[in-house]
Amino acid sequence: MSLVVTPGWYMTLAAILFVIGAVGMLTRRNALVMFMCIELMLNAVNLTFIAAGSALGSLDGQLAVFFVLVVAAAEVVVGLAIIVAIFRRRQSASVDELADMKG
Amino acid sequence: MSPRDAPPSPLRGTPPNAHSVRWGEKQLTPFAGGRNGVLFLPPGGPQGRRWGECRRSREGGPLTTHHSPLLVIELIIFVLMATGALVGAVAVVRARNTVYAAMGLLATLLAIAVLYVVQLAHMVAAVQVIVYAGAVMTLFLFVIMLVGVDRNEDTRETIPHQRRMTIGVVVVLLGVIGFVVVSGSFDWVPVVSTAADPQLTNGTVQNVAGELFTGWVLAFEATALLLTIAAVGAIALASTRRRREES
Repeated sequence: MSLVVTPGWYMTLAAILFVIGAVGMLTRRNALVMFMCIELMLNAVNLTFIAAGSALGSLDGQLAVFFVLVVAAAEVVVGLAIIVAIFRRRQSASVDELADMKG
Repeated sequence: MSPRDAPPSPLRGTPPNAHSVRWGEKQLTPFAGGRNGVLFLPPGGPQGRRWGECRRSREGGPLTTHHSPLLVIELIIFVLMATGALVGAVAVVRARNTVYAAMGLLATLLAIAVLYVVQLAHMVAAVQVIVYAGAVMTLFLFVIMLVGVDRNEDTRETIPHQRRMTIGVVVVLLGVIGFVVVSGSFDWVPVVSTAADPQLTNGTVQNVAGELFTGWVLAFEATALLLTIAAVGAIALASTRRRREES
C-alpha cells in the first residue's frame, strides 16, 4: 500500500464525518446540536464533491459545493430563527418537548 | 547523483519512461501518483509543473513516480487535517456544553477548508472560511448565548429502542464504508478530463466565476430567489409585533 494520498482517502474521511454527524443527529436532543450535526453531514458531502471534482478534472464539483454552501447558509438562518421562536414560547431548545402533535 | 541533478519528474509532461527517477524510486500504476504533486505551486509556475500536465502525461503507459517532497507534504497535511476534522466532529456529538460543540464544528470546518486548498479549490475554501466559519458559526454562537448554555440536556429516551436502533444504523454505515474501502472501490482514478484546457480546472475566482455565470446561471438565479425567501422568512419569524397585538 502506497502512502500517496488518493481521492479515496478524502472520500473515506468524508464518509466517516458523515457517519459521525448521523450519529449526533440520532442521539442528541438539543435542537442546536442537531443543527450542527446537519452542518457536519453537509460538509462531509461537500468534501466528497471537491475530491471527486478534483479527480475528474472538472470544476462542476466546486460549483456544486458553492451552491450547497449557499443553501446551508439560508437553512441556518431560517432554522435558527425557528429555534429562537420556539424558545421564546417554550423556554427550551429540546426537541422532545415539541411532541404535542404526536398521535 | 544529488537530488538537484535528478532528471525532471514525469509529472512535468516529459515522456513517461524516458529516464529513471531517483528519490526512492517506486513503480506505480498510472494515475496512482497523486495528482496533487503540484501542491501550492502557482499554475504554470517557474517549473511549469501543473496539474493538467500531470494528467495528460499520466495517460501513457506505466509511470515511474517518485516520492517528491510535495507528495509527502500532502500526506502530512492530510493526516493533520483529517485528525483535526475527526476530533472536531466527535466533539460536536459528544460535548455536553453546546459552546464546546460549536467550537468542535469550527475546528472541523477550518480543517476541511485546508483540505479544499490542497485540492486546488481556492475559491471554495475562502468561501468556506468566510461564510461558514465566520458568519454561520457566529450566528450559532449568538443563538447559543440567547437560548442559554447552562441547561442540561435531557437524555431520557422517548422513542423505544432508540439507542439500539442507532447502534444498528452506525454498524450498517460503517460496514458499508469498510466494505467499499477494503474492496478498493474508492481508489478509482478516472482518466477523462472534461475540461478542454486542464488549466481551467484550477478553482480560482476567475475560473469558478466563468463557469458559474455561463453554465450554471439558472441555478445562480434560483439561489437569489432562495436567499430572498429565506431572508423574508427569517424576518417574519423573528418579528414579535403580531404576538404582542394578540396578547
